[in-house]
Amino acid sequence: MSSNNAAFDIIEQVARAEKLHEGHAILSEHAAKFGLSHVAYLGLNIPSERRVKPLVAVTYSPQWQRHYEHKDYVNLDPVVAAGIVGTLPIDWQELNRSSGEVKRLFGEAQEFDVGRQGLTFPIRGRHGEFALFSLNSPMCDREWAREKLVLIKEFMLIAHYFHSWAVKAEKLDGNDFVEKLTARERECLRWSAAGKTIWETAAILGLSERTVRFHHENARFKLNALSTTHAVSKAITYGVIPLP
Amino acid sequence: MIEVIQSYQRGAFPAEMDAMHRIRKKVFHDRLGWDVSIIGDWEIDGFDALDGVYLVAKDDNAKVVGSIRLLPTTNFNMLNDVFPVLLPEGGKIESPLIWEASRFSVDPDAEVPLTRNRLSKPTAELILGMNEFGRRLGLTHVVTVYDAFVARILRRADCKGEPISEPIRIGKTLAYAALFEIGDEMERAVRQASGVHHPVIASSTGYDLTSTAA
Repeated sequence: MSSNNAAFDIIEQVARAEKLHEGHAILSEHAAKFGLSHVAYLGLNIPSERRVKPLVAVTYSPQWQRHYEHKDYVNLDPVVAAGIVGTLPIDWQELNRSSGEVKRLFGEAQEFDVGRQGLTFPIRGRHGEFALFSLNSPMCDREWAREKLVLIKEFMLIAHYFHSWAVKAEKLDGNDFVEKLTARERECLRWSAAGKTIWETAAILGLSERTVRFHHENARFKLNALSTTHAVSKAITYGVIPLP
Repeated sequence: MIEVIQSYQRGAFPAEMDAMHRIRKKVFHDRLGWDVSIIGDWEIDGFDALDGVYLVAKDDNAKVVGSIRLLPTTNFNMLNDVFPVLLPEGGKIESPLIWEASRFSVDPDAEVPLTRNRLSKPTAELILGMNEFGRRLGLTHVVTVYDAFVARILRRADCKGEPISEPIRIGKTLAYAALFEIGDEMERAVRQASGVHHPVIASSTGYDLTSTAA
């Protein structure tokens, strides 16, 4: 699939950067070759031990960003609303822009050179992470209709890789140890999360209390936690166990 | 004719969802006797609460006659999370360019025309619809876990998949897992095998492969 070679080249180059804004700058340079004016990445929910603000790597003008924040447009923006519910790429042309407020939002975006056309990829993962990756272009409608399919093919992969890379670059990927908990360790934590005592957990799982304690101990170690309560809390944060 | 309905839109398509879940119960619970979760007359499970996409097949009278469910492999799906035993060496299949197809079902009581090779029209349309959907999304493959019955259908439809592992007995069924390449070759093969040459995804759905807020 030769089309994906371009995507892999871009991903490889981005991966060599160490900081988020560096990788983003590399991506933006390449994006220009596709007739794009902007590439925007918003890591809106990245589960992490630290409280983190959303990751933002955008080429929109600082004035637009300030204006957007000042007007609280994140609550009005149909792109964000569509991204939150959907999985498929979102063409800004197809959003419902009938309300006066939304019309104004898009009008102002144009004034700030965001670009006539937009395509947003929602990114969602099994640990609860959520990000939006958007492309913008000044292309006319006809050219956009032609180019869109190519852009989707190229950038579907790039969007997801950029997200994974961004999380690593910002050192928010404490999820490495997550996969290493055994099924039994997870089970014991789940019952603890549900408020069961060690005795109760042992009875439920058909294990000895000593074995349950053993599983808790291993889970604590793997999660780098100070107590079982702490381990449960981390496990839920990283999606290792579901909310009870 | 195939209608594309994203999971978050299910509230806007109550008739289609009702028919779909009823047919799934008929096929997987009543006929195949699988251990699936039933609520009332519906077969519905946890994966239906995720960000999937449904391809719903309708006959010429706009009656729902079958469906297939598609889930991204970048999030919870059946192969990685329910049947990891089918994965080679404990690896995962996780890519933005690979989706998983599941719950392929056609109403056994519906009167549907048979095409060439004794494939029912909804069957051919669902496979072609899946391919078309995948193509518009830039997917490289669709992965799926299936049984001997579906294996025969795929053979008749001339769908050549790459097996992921040896078939493994799960419950009372022998389960197969395979990757199917999306694109021109799949389209050509299935159109040839079934004799279905019309476009299958309804333009009336307004589905242009991109999502709109409900």
